[in-house]
Amino acid sequence: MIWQIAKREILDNLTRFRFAFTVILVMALMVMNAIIFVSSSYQRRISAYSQDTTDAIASMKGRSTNLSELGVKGPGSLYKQPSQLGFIATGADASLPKRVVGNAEFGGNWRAPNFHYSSSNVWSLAYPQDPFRKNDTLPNFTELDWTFVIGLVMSFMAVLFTYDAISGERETGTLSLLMSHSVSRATVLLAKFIGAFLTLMVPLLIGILLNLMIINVSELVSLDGSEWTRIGIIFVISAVYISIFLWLGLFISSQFSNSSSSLLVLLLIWVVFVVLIPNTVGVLASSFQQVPSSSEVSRRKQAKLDEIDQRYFETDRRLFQFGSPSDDPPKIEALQVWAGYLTERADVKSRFDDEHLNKQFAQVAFTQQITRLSPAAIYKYAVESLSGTGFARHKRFVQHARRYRQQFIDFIKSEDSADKESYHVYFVKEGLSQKPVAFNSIPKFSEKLTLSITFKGALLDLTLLVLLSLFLFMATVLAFMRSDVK
Amino acid sequence: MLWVIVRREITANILSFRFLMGLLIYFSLIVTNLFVLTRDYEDRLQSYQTAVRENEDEVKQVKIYSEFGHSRKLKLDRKPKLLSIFNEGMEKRKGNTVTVAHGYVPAVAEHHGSDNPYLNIFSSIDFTVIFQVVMSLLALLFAYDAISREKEAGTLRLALSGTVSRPTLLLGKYIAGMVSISLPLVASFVAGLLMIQSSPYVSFDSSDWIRISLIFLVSMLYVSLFFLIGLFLSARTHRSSITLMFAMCVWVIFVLIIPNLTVLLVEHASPIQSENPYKEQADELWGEFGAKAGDYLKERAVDLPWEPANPGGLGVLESRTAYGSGETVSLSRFRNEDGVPFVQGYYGFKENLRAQYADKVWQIRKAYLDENPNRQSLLALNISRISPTAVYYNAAAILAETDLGSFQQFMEQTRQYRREWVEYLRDEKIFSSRRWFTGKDSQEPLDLSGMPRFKERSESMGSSLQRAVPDIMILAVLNILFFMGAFVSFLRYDI
Repeated sequence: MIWQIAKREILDNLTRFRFAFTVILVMALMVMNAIIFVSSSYQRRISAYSQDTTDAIASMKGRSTNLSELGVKGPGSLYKQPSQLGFIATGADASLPKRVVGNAEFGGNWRAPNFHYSSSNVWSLAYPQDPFRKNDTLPNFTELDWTFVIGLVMSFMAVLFTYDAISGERETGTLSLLMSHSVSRATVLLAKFIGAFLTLMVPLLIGILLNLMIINVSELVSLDGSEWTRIGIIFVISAVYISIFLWLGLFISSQFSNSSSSLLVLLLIWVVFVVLIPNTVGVLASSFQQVPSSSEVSRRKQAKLDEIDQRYFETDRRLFQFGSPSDDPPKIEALQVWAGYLTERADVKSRFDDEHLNKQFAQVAFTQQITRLSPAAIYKYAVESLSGTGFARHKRFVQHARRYRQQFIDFIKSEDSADKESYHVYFVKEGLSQKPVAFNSIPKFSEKLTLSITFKGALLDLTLLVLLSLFLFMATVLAFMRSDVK
Repeated sequence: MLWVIVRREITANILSFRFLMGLLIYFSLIVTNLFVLTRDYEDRLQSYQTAVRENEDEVKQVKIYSEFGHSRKLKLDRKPKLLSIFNEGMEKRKGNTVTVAHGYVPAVAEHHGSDNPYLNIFSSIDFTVIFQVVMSLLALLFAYDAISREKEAGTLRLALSGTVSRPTLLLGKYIAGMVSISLPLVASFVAGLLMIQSSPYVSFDSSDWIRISLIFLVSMLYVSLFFLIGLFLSARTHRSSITLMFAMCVWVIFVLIIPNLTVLLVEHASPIQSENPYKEQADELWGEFGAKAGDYLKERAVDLPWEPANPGGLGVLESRTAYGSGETVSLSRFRNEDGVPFVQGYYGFKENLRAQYADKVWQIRKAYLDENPNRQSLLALNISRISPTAVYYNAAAILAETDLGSFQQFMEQTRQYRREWVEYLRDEKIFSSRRWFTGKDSQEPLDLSGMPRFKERSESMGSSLQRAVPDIMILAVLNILFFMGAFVSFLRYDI
């Protein structure tokens, strides 16, 4: 019986104008998305990325002629690889920084009576705002990716497909007719859901297949097994997300006897949850959770650096007591004092920069928590996590870079300890081995985005979506049981 | 007769469920949004005031003039625009602090205050966006069944069987519809304004009031356009459900697709070029400048500029970026007082030259900005004008002084200020003064009483209007076109 009603629903839906409209709209958007991605956006991103990494490797090669230079100047720029699944969720990637930098600032020339030394600062990890998209004066816009097509357009269509499912039948009186047969209300409801769900899957599947076909035909992107699995999971999440709006539509529809009223209420809910909440709370969050401004942080950092200078340089003039580290041979105390001074400075820089970035990230995470009031935002975060884009990815990228920082330092120390001629004083350039390093043995920065990492990132959001869908399903069944058929 | 119809329609509308829902939507959206954005404005205003104070303190600490060239550059702050509460525009995306020096012509602005750039991944909504997206949808929903539903219900035939002519009926429906949309809108808007006014940081002057009323008028023009589109579609179709679908199509295309797609298309079809060639040109100029300064010394057979006054001394902090250069010269001892005039002569020559080269470098940078980001933004803006949604946003942004043009005027004013500053330095012969490079003679702070002060001049009402008029005209013309379209269609409508 349930299939008969579902079939009736589907046939009815298929002949409607709204169905044709949905198919055309979703198809057009999905094709547009794929074409833009392969012909331009990904192409430009990936070529810029490979250019950048080539330059970075060349600069590292230059430094590897001397271990001390490599150890003091650092690994250079670490770039974030653009995700191949960027067409699914762009995640504002083009406006997020494309790299973190592990370089040393220039040192200073020191002169005192009988003393001369050009010091090199020790590298620390810095986080410049260096996005791929350079022009920030373009008009406001949204990327037409899957999260837009499904998160916004399909959720709207789900509402349009269900707003009159019950209230419309009440208006025409066919509902009581239907109920007079020996079908339970739950069956009717479920059949209506299945009908609308399957109907909506048609445009979605057509859109996704066309989209993936274009992506696949282009030689630019080659998706591996893990990525196909991620796409599969994204499809499931999308289906769950659409079902939320179908149940919502059925719920509201069951409460009204007039289809235009149910449409208006649904529109109100849709506008608030899909449009308003994800887009206003960002402003609110920054006033709830304050983060010190960059200028304030750099002022405090400078004060701390000045304090270190004061201590080493003026208070007890320790820096000049034992002669210059560039003396031949240097006194070990001179190396230690200078290494202590330079490392302390680098540590302060690292600490301030890391802390500031952590606070900024915490503010963004807090904002994301509030926006999770909206299923559209939850959906977006889940999909971004699986596609390896957006804020979640960027945070992971920074974490990887920090881990790599330790790995790099460990490497320098272990290479240095192998050299008998070195003084093993970290980190002043004269205190390290002056031998060249085998370039291949230097650890290179890489970020592995495995299926399990991305899935773990999406798990919370996925669970939230499933729970929400179940909740609305139960609410709808209960509400429909108790409602009047007339 | 018109008024009878208008009254009938208004009564029917007000009693309808959608009127109640509309009121609810307007009120919650407009008032909460204005509340949030007012709080945001207060925060920004406070951080502006802090920044101004800090910059003044910074200036007071300057001991020698050359610090202005490098270590303590002048900072000019842009006051947050009050009307950014209604239209955010470029307000937060472009920075609000500009650095000025005689060796650097400002072209970009940085951010002061709470400036978490990662929050930019969240899009934000302002009063104008609410109109763009939500009010246009509601206007369509109010209008879509105005004619086709009456036909379905059979009341259209009844209404026209009397002495009422079709034009009167249509006009009546338009007036009544707009009145019933505007009443709750005006109410919510007034409530929002009262709430803004309760903030101690906000006081509107007369020009603000004019701008606010104009923004509201333009917003109504935009809503009316969508109402007329609804009416037009209603007069072209015979079943209200079909009208609704067409209306949704139009809405999706105008509001969602065109504005988003144009930016992408422009970015891909007309990308901005790399800045490197321009930076290299600028670098060459700075090299030339360095060589000329070197020649000055070579001609006089001097190695280091301060050698005649203090052989073996040291005390220069120098920096050079592609588009700017500067140095702080701080000499504390003069073993040979007779050599000091030479140093003065040298810096008098060099810093004058630096200011000239900064102007030349600016020309190169200006060429890059005009040919690349500015051209791209302008192209995107012009193409997006296919959609009335973009036209409306731009008009509102101009009136709120938050559009790109207004920001560029601010930047132009900072460059004007830099010219005044350089003139001041030249007129007072500061480049060739002792205090350019030494604070040794006196511990007193510098006498900066004659120094030009920066004050941003806001755009005059007339010039704003002049820039906004084309967009307002487009909206008005579209209104007229769709009204005529609805009129003609309804005249031939089969009741």
